[in-house]
Amino acid sequence: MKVEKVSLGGIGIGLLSLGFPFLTLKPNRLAQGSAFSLWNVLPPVEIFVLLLPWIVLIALVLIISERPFYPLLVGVVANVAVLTVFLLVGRSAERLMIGQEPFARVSMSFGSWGLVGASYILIIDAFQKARAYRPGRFLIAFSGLLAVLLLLSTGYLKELSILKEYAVRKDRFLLELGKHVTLSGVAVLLAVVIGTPLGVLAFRRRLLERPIFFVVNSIQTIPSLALFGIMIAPLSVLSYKVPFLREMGVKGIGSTPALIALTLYALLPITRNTYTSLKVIDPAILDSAKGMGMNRLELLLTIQLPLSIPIILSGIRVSMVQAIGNTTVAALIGAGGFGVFVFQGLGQAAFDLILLGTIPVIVLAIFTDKIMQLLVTLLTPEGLKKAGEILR
Amino acid sequence: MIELRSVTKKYGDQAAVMDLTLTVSEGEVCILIGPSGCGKSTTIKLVNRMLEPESGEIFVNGRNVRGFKPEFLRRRIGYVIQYVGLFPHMTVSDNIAVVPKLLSWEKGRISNRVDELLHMVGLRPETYRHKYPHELSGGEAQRIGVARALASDPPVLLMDEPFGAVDPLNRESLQAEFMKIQKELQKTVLFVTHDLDEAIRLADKIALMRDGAIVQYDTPENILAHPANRFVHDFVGTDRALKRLSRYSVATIMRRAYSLSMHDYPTTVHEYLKKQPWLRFLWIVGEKGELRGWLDTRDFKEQGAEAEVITEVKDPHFGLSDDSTLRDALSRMLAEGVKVLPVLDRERRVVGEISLKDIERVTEEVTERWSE
Amino acid sequence: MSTMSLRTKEERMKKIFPVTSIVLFVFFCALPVFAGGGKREVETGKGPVTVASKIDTEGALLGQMIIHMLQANGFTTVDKTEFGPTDVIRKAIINGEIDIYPEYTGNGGFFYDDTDPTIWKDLKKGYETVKKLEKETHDIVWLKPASANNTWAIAIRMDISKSDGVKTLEDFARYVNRGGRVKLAGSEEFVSRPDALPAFEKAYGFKLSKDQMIILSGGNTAQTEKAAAEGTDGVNLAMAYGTDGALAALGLWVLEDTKGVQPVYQPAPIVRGEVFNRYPEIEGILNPVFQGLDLVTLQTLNAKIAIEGQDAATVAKDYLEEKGFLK
Repeated sequence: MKVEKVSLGGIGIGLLSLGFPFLTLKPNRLAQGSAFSLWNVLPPVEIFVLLLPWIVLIALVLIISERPFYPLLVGVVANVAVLTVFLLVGRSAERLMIGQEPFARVSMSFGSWGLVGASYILIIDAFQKARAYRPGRFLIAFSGLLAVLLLLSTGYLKELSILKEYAVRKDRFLLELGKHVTLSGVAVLLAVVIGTPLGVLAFRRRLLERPIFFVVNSIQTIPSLALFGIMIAPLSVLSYKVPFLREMGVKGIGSTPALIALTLYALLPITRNTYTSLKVIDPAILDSAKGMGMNRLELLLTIQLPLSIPIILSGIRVSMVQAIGNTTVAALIGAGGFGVFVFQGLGQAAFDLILLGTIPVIVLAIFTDKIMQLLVTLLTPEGLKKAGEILR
Repeated sequence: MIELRSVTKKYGDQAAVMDLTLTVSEGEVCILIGPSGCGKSTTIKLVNRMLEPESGEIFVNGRNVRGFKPEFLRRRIGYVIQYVGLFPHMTVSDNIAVVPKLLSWEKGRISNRVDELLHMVGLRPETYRHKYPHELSGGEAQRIGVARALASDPPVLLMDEPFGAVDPLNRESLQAEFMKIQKELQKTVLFVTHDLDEAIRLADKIALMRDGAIVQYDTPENILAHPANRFVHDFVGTDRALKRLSRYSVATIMRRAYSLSMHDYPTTVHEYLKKQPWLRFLWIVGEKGELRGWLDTRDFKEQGAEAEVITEVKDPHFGLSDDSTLRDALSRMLAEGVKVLPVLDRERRVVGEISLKDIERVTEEVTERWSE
Repeated sequence: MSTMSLRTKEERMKKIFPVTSIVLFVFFCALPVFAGGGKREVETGKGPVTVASKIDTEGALLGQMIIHMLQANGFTTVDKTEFGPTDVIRKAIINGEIDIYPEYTGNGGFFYDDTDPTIWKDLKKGYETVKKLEKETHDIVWLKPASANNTWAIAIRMDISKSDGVKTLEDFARYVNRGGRVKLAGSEEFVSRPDALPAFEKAYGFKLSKDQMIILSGGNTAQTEKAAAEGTDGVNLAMAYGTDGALAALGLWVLEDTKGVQPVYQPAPIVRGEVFNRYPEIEGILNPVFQGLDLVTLQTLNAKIAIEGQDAATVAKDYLEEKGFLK
C-alpha cells in the first residue's frame, strides 16, 4: 500500500487538534478568556458530526489511496470537514453567549483553527494531485471557502467575536475592502503598463538590461513603510504647486503615495517575467519568422506575444498576490485597506480585530492566486501546454 | 534565378564574403559547401537580406533585391533552416499557412494549398493538419519546414543545412523527397551543406567556398573529375572517382540487353550469336519479360545446348533496378563477384545490361591530380 | 489565441495605435479618480472639512465627536479618522492634506524641541506656548482643550494597591525601596526616555532594575495593561495613559503623580489656519464639547470602545446626544 504521507500528516494534525481548546470565552475584549474543549461544548450528536469527515478520510487513506480518483474524494471530504467545523463553531458560540453580557467575546481557539488548517493541508494536497481533473480541481480548492462565505452571509456565525467586531464596523469593512482591492488592482495594472514595455526594452537592448533590473531589484529592498513615507513630502509639494493635479485628487497622503509605492513594488515580477518570456523563445523560431517575411510588429503579435503570455501572466499572478499583502501597510499613510483593522487591533490589543484585518487579506490573496492560475491555464496556447508543465 | 555580383560582407575588419560573384540559373540547385567559416551561410542570408552587404549587388529573377522592402522580398523567397523553427503554439496547418496569410490569400485557397503541400512532402493531411510541433518527430518537422517554405510557391528557395539536425536514416529519405519535389517543381535553389555526399547527390552545380570566395563552381561530375587546385582535391577526398559514380544512373550508361524465353531456347541463341558473335551474356526471361535466369555464351559454345548452361536466378533481388546509380552497380558487382549485371524495371523485366568495363569508362574521366 | 488573422500591415497599424493611445489616455485620466478618491469642492453647504485622527481609541473617539458636531452644524465632512501615526498626520496637516485633528498639548515638546521642558509640565503655560508656536510656524490654530490629562502614568494592580496601601507614586517609591515585589511592563520608549520613567525615578527616589522590568519594543498601553491584569510573567505594573479605557475594567489603579513630574497632555482640536479663517464658527461649535471631557468621562467612553468593542462613531454620537450637543 503506497503511503500517502501528506494525507496522513494532515489527518494527524486534525486529530491532534481535537485535544486542544475549541473555543474561548472572555468577559470582554481585553480580559483573559477561559478555554472550552469540544467535548465540553458540543453535544454528542454534534461531536459525531464533527468527527465523521475525519473518519471517512482515514478510511479513504487506508482503502483507496491508489485509485486515480482518490485526490478528488479527499478534497471533497476535506471541504466538508471545513464546513462542519464552522457550522458547529457557530452553534456553540451561540450556546456560550447565552446569559453573557453583550460585550463578552467568544473566539475560535487552537483546536478549531487546527482542524481548519489540517483540512486545508489535505485540500491543497488533493488539488495538486488531481492534475488530471483540470477544471474540476478548482472546485476542490474553492468550495469550502465559498460554503463558509455563504454561511457568513446568513449570519450563522454572528456570535463569534470576530463577527462582532465586524458588526460594529460593517460599512467601514466594505469601504476598506473596496479600497484594498482597488489599490492592489490598480497598482498591478499600472505595473503591467509600465513593466511590460520595460521588460521588452531590457530584452531588446542588451545595454539597458543591467540598469533596468538594478533599479527594479533595488526597489524591492526598500522597506515598504519607508517607501510609503518618502513619497509624502514631494507629492504634497507637487500637488500644492500644480493645482491641476490637486483638482484631480492627487494628494500627498492617502491613496496617491500608496499607489505609487505599490506600483513600484509590483514592477519586479512583471518586468522580470516579461524579459524571461522573450529570452526563452528558441532563436530558430525568430530566425525563421523573420526569414519568412514578418515585420517587427507581426513578429511581436503573432509569435512573441502568444509564446510569452503564459510566463507574463505568471508574473502578474505573483505580482497581484504580493500587492494584496503589501497593501496592508498602506493603512499607515491614510490609504485605507484592511491594514486599518490590523493597526486598530494592535493599538487596542484586540486580537479578533487584528484577525478581521488579516483573514480577509489572506483569503483575498489565495483566491486571487487560484483565479490567476486558472487564467494562465486557460490562456496558454494549446501547443504550449505540454511545455508549460515545465514552466509551472 | 539568383545572381550575386561582387558582393562583400564584412564583420568589423574580417570579410566573411569577399567580392563574390555567382549565378544560379533558373530551375537549378546550387549547393554551397566548404569548411566552417567559409561564408556559405552568410551568402544565402545576403540573398534574402537577413544580412546586408558592404558592397555589391544581388538580383533575384533580374530584380535588385534592394528594390524591395525586406519583408516583402522574404515572402516571395522560401527559407528553410536547420532547426526548422516551427511555431510551437500553432498547428501544422497554421504553420504552413503563415506566408499565404501574410500575403492575404483567402481562406479556401490557403486550406487547399496546405493539403497540397502536405501531400507533396509525403504526410497525410488528415493526420497532420491538426498536430502540434511538439508531437512531430525530427524528420516530420523538417518536412513541414520545407512545406512551409514552399507555401506561397516562391520561385526561389534558400536552404541552410536543412537536413543537418536529422539522423542519417531520416536524412536519406528527406534527400530523396527533396529530389522528387525539385524534379516536379523546378525551383531555383541555393542550398548550404557541410555534407559532401549530400552535395554530390542533390546538386546541379556545386560552389566550393573557402575564406569568403568561390574556389570552384561546376557540376559535381566535373569537380570530382577535375579538381581545380589542391584544396579542392583534398576536400573532395581520394575516393572521388567512386563518389562521382553516384552521379550517373545505370539507365544512362546501360547497353542493350539480349533476352529470350525458354520456348525460344536454343534457337534464338543461335540467331543472336550469328549476328552478334561477341555477345557474352544472354538473359532468360519469363512470359511477361521478367528475369528468370542467365546464360554465359562461352559455356553454350563449349558444352552445347543440351548441357546445363542456363543458370537459374533464384534470388528475387538479383539485378539492378533502373533507378540505381553506377555506384550501386559497382557495389553490387563486387558483392556478387560478377562483372555484368542486368538492369531491371519495377516489374523485374530486363531493360538493359551493364558491365564493369562500362563503369571503368566513366571512372577513367577522372584526372589524377588537380589542374593548376 | 493560437492563430491570429493577419491582415496587411497597414490595416493593423491603423487599428493598434489609436486604440492604444485612447486606452492609455483614459487610463491616466482615471488614475487620480482611483488615487485621490475624486473629491470635489461642494458648492452648497459648508466645507468639505477633512477630519483626521491617529490610530488609537481616544483619537477615534474625539475625531468622531468633531465630525458629528460639524455635520450637525451644516458642514460636509470627510472622515479620515484612524489615519496614521503622529508623524504622518503632522505632515498631512502641515501640507494641507487634512484640516483638523485632535492633538495633545504635551506633544508641543516634540514638535518644538528647543523649548524649555518644564513649560510642558504646566497646564496653562504648555497650552499657551504650543498655541503660539503652532500659529507662528505652521498657521495651525489650537482650540480649547479638554480638562483630562492623558499623560504617561504607572498603573498598579488593584489588589496590591489595596493590600499594600500604594496609592501615589510616593507610596510606590516606599514600596519598592522596602523590597516589595515589582515587575513593570513598559515600552522601550517609556523606560528610556528621560522625561518618562527616569523622570519618575528621579523625582520620587526609586530605581527599577532590569529584571524588574519587561520591555516591549513597540508596546502600547493596551498590551501592558493586559499583561499586568493577567499577571503574565509576573507583571504587576503597567505603563499606562491617564485616560485609558481599560484601567477600571482590568482592575488597575493609576498611581497619582503628586509631584507633577509628567508633562500635561490635554487633547485639543487643532485646525489648519486657512480653514479656521474661512469658518471661525468651528471654535464655538467644538469648545463646549471639549470642555466637558474630564478624565473619568474619557476613561468611560474609551472603555466602551476598547472593552465593549463598540464603534467610535456610535459611542461619540450617544455621548453627544446624552449631553444635549446633538438633538
